[in-house]
Amino acid sequence: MTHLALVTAAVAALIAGSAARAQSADVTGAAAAPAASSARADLSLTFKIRQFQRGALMIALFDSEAAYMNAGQPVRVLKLDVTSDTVSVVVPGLVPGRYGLKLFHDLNGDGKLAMNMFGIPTEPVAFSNNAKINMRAPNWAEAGFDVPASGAAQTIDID
Amino acid sequence: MTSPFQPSRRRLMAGAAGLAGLALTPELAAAEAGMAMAADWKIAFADLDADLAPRAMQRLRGKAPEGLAGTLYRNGGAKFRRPKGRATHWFDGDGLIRAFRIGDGQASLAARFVDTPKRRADRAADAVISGGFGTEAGPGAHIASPDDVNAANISIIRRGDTLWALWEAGSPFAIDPATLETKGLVTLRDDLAHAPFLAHPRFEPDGRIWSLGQVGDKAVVWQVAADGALLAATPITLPMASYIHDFTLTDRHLVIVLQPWVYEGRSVVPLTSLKWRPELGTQVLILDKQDLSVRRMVELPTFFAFHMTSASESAAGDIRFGICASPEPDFVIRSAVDVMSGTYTPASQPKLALVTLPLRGPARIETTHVTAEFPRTDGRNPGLNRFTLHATAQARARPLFQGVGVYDWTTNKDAVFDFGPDHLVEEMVFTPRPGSSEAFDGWIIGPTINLRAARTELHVFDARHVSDGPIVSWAADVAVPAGLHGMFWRA
Repeated sequence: MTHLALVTAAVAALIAGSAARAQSADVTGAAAAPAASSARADLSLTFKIRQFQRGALMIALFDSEAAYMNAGQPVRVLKLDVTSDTVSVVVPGLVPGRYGLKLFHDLNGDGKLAMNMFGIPTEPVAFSNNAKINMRAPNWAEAGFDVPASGAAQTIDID
Repeated sequence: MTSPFQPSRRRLMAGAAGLAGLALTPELAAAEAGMAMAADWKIAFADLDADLAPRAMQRLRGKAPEGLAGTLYRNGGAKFRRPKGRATHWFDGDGLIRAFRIGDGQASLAARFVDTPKRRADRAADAVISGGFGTEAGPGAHIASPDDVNAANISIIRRGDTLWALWEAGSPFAIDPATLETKGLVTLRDDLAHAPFLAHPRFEPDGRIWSLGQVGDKAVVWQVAADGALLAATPITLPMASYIHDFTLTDRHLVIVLQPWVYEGRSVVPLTSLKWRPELGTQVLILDKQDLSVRRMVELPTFFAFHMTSASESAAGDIRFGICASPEPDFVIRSAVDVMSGTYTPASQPKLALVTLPLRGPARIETTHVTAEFPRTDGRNPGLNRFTLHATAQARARPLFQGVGVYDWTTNKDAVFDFGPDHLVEEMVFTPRPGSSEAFDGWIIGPTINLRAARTELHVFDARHVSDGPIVSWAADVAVPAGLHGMFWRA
């Protein structure tokens, strides 16, 4: 399973990179500079926690393929405490467009995606559209979703 | 010698009562309709579609010896095909834990699949989507770590009062010894979750085990106490990214055979990314158990091996062990793929060989004429024991073996019992007679698949008289697909 481990390690790196940027951003949701258009949309997020009702979800929202694929700057970062099997939040004021979401469940409270010595994530990870990790992290086509002016909703399973 | 296992004259019609317990899916049955089911050996690589509730086994002949009581636990893949997709390699079946319980002269059989994320995902998809050793992942697979595709299908060991079902590229699964229920993944330390753990740990006299976990040229050396507690996990780097299935040790050293079947390329499926590079030779890495950074390497002529015995080290530092060596990995590359579609592809037969690694001077491997796989020993004493128990007598025209052998390293003679072509012989294990301390005083226990009667049988031999044949045999009412490795847990 050598290269399976390398794939999942690459996934971990992708998320860890994003999480590192998230750490340095305002975790209450630093907004991007408003664009000329006044249209703003709400993104309703629901996370279904399958196992660990503790810790926090560390979430990074990207508004471009380049940022999503290359651990670039997220447009929003969120830290949601987990105390039950469902966590919900509304991300307001998004510019309508295409977005992608990566998250991990920070179980040990250190704000970082934990990995074993082979680079394999030891905390749960998830992506928008419940996109799967199969040979590689889900790409923009798989994890990307539209947020029109009327708003959007994502329900994502984790653990 | 006359064998009570002469082929019966009764021809068993395919698909009849003998296949009870092997529910072919409608799609598979249709696909197979045109194929000749007269090739009985295929039942050894068929699918079990449900757990087996405990059932008494019928005693065929002989009498259970006084003092023999306990459970033979075994592991092996037993579900390969689903309506929308199947495993393409023998190593990728769902692990099935088999329990043959012996006591009061009677035997019973139960079997239960390990409840793995792989099995759940494949069942939900109605296809084998979990990639494995030789099977590509299918659409819809979600693989966040190797444990998402962990088949838990190679071996089973005891830790404390529980069992661990072992794969090799992921974590052990804890199994209840009484019910065979899966209790969950074993995480030895949180920061080592989902790390690999070989199916062949090596035992110290105090019950401690050493194991390895390998990803390419990186490995972790595990030490786990008899009760399952982690004692140490030490990262090491390997000089060659060889496929490692087994390793050995002496009282002073870990001995890791690095054959030139090496991970290269970009595939996540090991079978595809492993390349045979015979020009590299077979290397052996020897590590000081007290300080794993102290190491030396020796070179051997090229060979391939899955399994070896434990190793002896003289006062002068010369290391010796037995190994089942083949010229190349043709069985695992070709035969183990072809059996999944019912084709027999002959491969080179593994031969029992002696590896000698002198502290100074060239290392050597001396191959015997004895066909051997699944080597086991008495195990009570460390080092290269006098006797090596092994499967032998490669069958003609079908895979795997039909005989049991006991090789004596002092006389270089192999005592053999040949069941004949109707039996597919699985790994046999040794258990000592209670109260005995003499080497190899005890019993050999293990199953065969009676291909003609389409049923699994359990046999017990007097270990020192294996060529006399079983002293007692029992039959199940079902043929359980061929397993790999197991252990006897004395009552």
